[in-house]
Amino acid sequence: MVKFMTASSVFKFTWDQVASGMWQRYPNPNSKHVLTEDVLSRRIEDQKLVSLRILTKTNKIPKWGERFVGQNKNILIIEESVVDPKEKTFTTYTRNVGLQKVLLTASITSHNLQFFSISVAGLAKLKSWALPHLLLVALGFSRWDQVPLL
Amino acid sequence: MKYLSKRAASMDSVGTDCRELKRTYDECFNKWFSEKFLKGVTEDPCTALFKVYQDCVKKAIREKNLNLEEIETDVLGTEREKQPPPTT
Repeated sequence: MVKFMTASSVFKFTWDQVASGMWQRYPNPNSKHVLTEDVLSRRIEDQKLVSLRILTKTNKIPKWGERFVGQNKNILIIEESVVDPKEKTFTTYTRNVGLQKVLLTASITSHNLQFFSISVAGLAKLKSWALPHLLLVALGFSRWDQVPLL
Repeated sequence: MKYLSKRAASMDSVGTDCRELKRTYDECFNKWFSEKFLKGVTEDPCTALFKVYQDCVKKAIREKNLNLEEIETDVLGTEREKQPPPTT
């Protein structure tokens, strides 16, 4: 079972402001579930900045879900990004590592031009159980990280 | 938007010992990114700071038995980007 979701928003800031803000999202009071944030690699390739970041987030599981995924454990998130200052695009690919057999999400966001539009594509792939299957999807989307920009 | 001032709260690192290294590197990077890189200057003056910080983070990842190989695999820009993520 696969779910696909898109969303877009327009923010009244310059692209430069949003691009700079992308690196300074954390810590912030709206994302207390994000525990750590680190840059693992960074390089310039064809005048673009290619970065790899790892973040850890809390992963609150309701009691009924513990028998599927174990008790509350933090989850690791990988974010790959490419910033092109000429084209004014900031593209990220975010995925979780761990818990991939139960709930898997990957998102691609791109921020371009002066009217920043953020498109989020979420992909959730679950094992084929009946009711717990649908409830886990609901759980996954209710915890979807709203990207706090500024 | 300018980069955050030194008085802003800093974010935790995956390695508790790496926090100050991270803060120092982030300050250098944020300044360079908004004042130079976005204006076309690609020479990065923060590489030495980054190396020290990166070594600390990699050590912490290994100590926590996280899968460094899976973490470092590039997906963006490859064929894997267009595929559903694997359930390994």
